[in-house]
Amino acid sequence: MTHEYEIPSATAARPRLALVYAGVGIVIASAAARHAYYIEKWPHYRLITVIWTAAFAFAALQWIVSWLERPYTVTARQQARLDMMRVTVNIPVYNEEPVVLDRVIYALFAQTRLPDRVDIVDDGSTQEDYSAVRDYWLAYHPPSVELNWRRYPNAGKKRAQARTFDSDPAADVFVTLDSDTTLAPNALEEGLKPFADPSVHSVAGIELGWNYSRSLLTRIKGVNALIWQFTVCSAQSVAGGNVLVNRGTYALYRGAMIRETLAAYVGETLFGRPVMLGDDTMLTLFALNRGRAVQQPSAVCFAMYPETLSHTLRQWTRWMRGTALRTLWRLRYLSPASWGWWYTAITTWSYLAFVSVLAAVAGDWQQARSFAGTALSISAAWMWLAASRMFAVRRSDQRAIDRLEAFLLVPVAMLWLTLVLRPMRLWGTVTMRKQGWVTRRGGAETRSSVADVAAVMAETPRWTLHEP
Amino acid sequence: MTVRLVQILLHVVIPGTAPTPFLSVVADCFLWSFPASLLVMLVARFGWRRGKGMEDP
Repeated sequence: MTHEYEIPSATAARPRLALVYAGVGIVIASAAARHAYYIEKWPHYRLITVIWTAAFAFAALQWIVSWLERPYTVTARQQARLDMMRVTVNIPVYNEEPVVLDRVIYALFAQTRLPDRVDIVDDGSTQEDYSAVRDYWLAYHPPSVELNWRRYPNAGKKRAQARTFDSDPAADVFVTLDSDTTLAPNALEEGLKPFADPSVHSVAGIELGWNYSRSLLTRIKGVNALIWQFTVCSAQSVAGGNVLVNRGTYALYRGAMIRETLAAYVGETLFGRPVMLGDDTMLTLFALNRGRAVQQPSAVCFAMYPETLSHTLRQWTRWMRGTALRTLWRLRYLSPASWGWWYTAITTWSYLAFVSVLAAVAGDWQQARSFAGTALSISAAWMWLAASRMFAVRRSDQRAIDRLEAFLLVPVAMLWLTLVLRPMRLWGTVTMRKQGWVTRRGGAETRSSVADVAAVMAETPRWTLHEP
Repeated sequence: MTVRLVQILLHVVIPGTAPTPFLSVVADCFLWSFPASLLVMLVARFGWRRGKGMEDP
């Protein structure tokens, strides 16, 4: 193990506004004209065309608003205040591959803004030995950072996070970082900037795939994740700070908010059972009930995407179980005057409609074939439009041709989302009472073949000069 | 798929194709999903007592 890695950087690109607004305007006007034409021309189908026009208006509004997202910036005075903040990072570890964890710690200690404390909580891993990683970093971490490495019996991710939240009453900001997530060099510095606004209680980082180019599966996941983050989440962030899902891979929370809600966080139950999943979405919900939950497009992390079909589907099942529960919680606890509540309500309706249409198509394929082809084509066209937002972020290890390739993959990603992942949400809803580290019982989602390739000798880390 | 996509994109400029009859079924799906989702919303908002969420335990 080298303990040194080359970490790509990522920058939020500023779109050419005139071009964007002209393009967005033309597309919206053309599509609106088409909807109006259908409503007028085919009165027999007026109900469905009106419904679709409303759905189109919602999607178009979301897309337009998403274009308004800009990275948060701060004045010199605000930056000075942010520099004074005590930042504590929690990394819960469960059966993570040691070399991946080693890279995650390396990237954390190579940040342009170092954290004040890092807590690595081994949640009773059974399949890995971390002694080499632990001993190295306990000896060679930056002296200004307090590093704790603790191991407890397995109790789940929320408990592993709570051990940090509960033990640092002075923390101004808690950072949750997954054990397979490598931060871009300025991720912490950028992620803290929105906290200059006192109404901001949580900040979502942007998640890219470390192993994006590994396989078709990882590419598809990367495309879908990027489109979702830069359309749905961007719009939510712009619309009053209404981000509903902070990525569990990398997110930041105001310390006071976490301490206020900690008991409810670990005490959450469903049908009498403790809720183990949906940690990130629950913390986001707490933030939303106290103020704004935003996204910082310039705070980027690189997560490990599942590389096999089995892991992909297990991860998705785990997420959908969390989503099923959080949908109920959002409808219950968010204000009906908020963007977040309306987004949840509308997507609940559209999801039920989607499932019933899917069943109808399957039940009468002969009649439905033409409709299914048209619906998929329109979905692909619409997703391609939404995918124009993918270029809002650029990573140093990708060329223009890689970005173009990702753009061309959009219809495939749409098919995967529509025909496989969205129907699987039903399974997640039906089985939402099953909780736990579903994905990792058989080990981490990726193995060392990926990490070894990525681990190359880079510049000597500066803190090696300060051996204790 | 590509041909279909081009047809649809052209359709934005030169509309004219009649909708498929299956659209009536789709319309029913959307229509009946509305009260179903309303029920989910009402239960979540006012009737859900089987779990402990935002309240302090």
